[in-house]
Amino acid sequence: MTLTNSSQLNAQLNRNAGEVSAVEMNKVDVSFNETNVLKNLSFTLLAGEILCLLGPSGCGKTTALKAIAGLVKPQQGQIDLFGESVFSANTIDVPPQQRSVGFIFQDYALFPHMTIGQNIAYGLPDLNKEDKQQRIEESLQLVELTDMQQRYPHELSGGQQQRIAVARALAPKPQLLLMDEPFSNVDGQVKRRMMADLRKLLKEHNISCIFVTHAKEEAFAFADKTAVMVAGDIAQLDKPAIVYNQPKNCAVAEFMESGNLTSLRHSQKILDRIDRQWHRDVENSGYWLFKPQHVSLKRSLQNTGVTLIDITYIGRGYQYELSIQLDKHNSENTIIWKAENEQPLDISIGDNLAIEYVASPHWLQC
Amino acid sequence: MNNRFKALPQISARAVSFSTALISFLMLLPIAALIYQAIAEYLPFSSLATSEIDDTFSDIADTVLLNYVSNSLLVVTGSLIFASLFAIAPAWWCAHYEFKGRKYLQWMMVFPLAIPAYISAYIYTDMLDYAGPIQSSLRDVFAWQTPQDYWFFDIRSIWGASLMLGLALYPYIFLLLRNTFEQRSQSLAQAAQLMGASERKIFWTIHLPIARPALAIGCTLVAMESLADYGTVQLFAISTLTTAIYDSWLVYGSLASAAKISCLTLLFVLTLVGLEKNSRKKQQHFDSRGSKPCPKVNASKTKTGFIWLFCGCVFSLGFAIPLITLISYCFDYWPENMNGDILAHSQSTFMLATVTATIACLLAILLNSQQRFQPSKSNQAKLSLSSLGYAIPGTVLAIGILIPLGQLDIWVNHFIQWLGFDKVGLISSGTSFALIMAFVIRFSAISNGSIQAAYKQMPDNLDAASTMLKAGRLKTFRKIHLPIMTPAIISAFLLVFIEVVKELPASLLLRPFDFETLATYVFQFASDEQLEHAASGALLIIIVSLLPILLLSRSQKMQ
Repeated sequence: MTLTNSSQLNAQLNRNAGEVSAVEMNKVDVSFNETNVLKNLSFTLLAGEILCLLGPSGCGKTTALKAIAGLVKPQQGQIDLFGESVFSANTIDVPPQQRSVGFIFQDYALFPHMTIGQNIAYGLPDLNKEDKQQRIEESLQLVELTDMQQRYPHELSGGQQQRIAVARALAPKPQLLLMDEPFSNVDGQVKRRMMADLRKLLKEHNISCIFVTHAKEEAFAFADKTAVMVAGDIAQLDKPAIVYNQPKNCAVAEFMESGNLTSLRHSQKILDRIDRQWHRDVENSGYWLFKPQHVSLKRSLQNTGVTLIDITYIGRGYQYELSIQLDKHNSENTIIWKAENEQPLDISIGDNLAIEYVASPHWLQC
Repeated sequence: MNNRFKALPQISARAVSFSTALISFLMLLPIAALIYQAIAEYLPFSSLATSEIDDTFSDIADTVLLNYVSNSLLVVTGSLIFASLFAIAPAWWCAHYEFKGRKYLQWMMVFPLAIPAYISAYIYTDMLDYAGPIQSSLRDVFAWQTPQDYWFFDIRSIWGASLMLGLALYPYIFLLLRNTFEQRSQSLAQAAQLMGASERKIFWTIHLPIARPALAIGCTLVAMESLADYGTVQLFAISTLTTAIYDSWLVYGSLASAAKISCLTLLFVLTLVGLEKNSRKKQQHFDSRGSKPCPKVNASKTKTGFIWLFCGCVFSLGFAIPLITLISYCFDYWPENMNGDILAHSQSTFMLATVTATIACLLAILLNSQQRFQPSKSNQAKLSLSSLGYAIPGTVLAIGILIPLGQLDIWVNHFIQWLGFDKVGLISSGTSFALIMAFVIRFSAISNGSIQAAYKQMPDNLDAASTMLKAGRLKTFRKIHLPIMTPAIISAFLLVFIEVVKELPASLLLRPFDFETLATYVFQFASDEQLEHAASGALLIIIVSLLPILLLSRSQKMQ
């Protein structure tokens, strides 16, 4: 396949959308000052897909993005873009400017001394003046900022700057767009609209995209797939709903705040007080994940060892914080659970509660 | 590998790396030469070991060296006392209070930086000497007949020199302290206030300790400048380490002795640099930027009056009186001041300053862009080494340059003779080349600092964005770095230019025969007690020196 002819490639991508791999990372290691930032990182992104690299600060997600772009050089591993190797330890290292990758930085990195038009034209050195102008106008049309060409970055709002960064990154028609926390500087309504517009744009032009964030809501709204990164490696890569509802391990469950993570030993003690039964025949070590929305609460006149300690309104309903005593003879030995209900319940802080779990919990081998 | 991936043309990284290493080596050459010259006679392989032993240094060490050292230390201490006295309170007032004319006063307080201490020293000597207008008037009023009839402050003393240096150098402390006080955290002050502390207690226990590193840095600068001073102490006939270096070479003709005293001076400078580095470490710890600064408090009329009185006196002594006196000299001695010499010396000085500033800026751009594109410890070390010259006193640096260039001239002449031609003379140590080399080494720290600051303010992501948009290093440098850095380059150029115009000690030692810079020309007249005849030259130096202050005030206004 000749990658120089991008229209041919796009045609093929359109035919085989979802089959050609856009990015293949294979056992990539990156370390700075003897600290391993990426450890054996491997994943595949199919052409036309949007992948979100999600994880806490310092987990290596931006480094992964920069390694794909060529801005960071790995020590080990292999990186292929659209079937062509761009990095292989000690043998191949294609410079960033030759990888046909668009990059949107967290601070947008718009050149402050250039107009918007000049910013976009910067990445189009091979086009003649007319074609360049046409491409600038097309790019600005894509982001609906056609009248901004003569303005300078500092004359635009945060949202407009973000859209210009998108226009600049897309102007050279990259096959892959990388975005480093692109929505972190905008909030609320603007952010939601921006995410919807950008997603539509990427899908219309069949552009593969990897974006980095630490906000899971952005992953839910924007990505086809989500990869949760923990300590330099991918802990789980799947559809956002699966990652949220069926986390693969405790680290993912904790980061996604999927529910009440409770060890098998503690669960047995709690389950004795829950009427509903389910399959308990699991391995000796592991955790059950109890979803807060499946925890049902009732006031009890008996000492159940479950006490309501806090009530918080969370918009979509009410969140109840419970203290569950694990040992009848030791009131200090407790764990905290959360329960959620759309409607306010007739219970008060300090009440003794009877709890019931109305679904099957998710089993995690951590 | 696909064609798409063929390498883009780039400047050879090795060539750049080699040239920057060479630059750093040249910057270090004077120090290495000084040390070598100082210890050469003790080295078994040195040609000096077998030649006639130079006793000048041992004579000086046995007799007056201790006196030189103690005088130097006294001048430094005195300058620090006076500079602190003139700077600390005004810095606090300008940062803490809002009063009529504050914006003007805070810049007026920096103006004395434009007047070289030896010019003030000459003017005040003229004014305060026995035959000067003040003592004469006092004698007339009180009918005193002889010096024994009254006591009067002797300006030609260590304290007089300290006062002159304090007046010329206090703006360093003032500027640094004022900036720190301006940024003092409101939340810290409010926290202390809520815990029952009075305004006075908050100043002594919160603001001043936090500003201590800035005070230490300012004091170090004053100490280094007063240690390096040659003009003032020479005018007042105070023997210090710098005058000793000068005399060792020009009076006794002993380069080895000059090198040894230079090494001793360097030891003091290194101690000061060490102290300054230590203060900077603490400043990072105390940095309160990011938190909201304290709002200004309206000063009462009495307070405003007092502030203006104190600062007005300092400003008058440090700037207005010397300036007005020079202007009056200029008018009184109009024909002498308007002769062709001043024009010729101005032209040669400005030419010298332009060449030096251009070289210093080019070197700074090369070194800093290399560190930007290829950040590494070795590149950082090259940058730090090439900035070291600023700490070396001009007199010391001049000796450090004379040693290798003198040797080079000897080799070149031997070689030319060996080829059968006539000697070519001192082609490097006796020409403007030596002066330019000294200035570039001494003032590269300024251009480096300016370019480095510009690079620090430029987000790294701009480079990454440029790379992602298919630009190579050269294009990134040309299209992104250079346009953004242009103001910094211009200010670096101007700052170096001005420093060259003002520089005196190295110029005195290294200038070619029959060549004068404005500073040496003015100093020559001052030391002959005829500054009146070169007042226009002195005024020109002051006007040029005011430029960075105006630049600084403009940049702060823009911020």
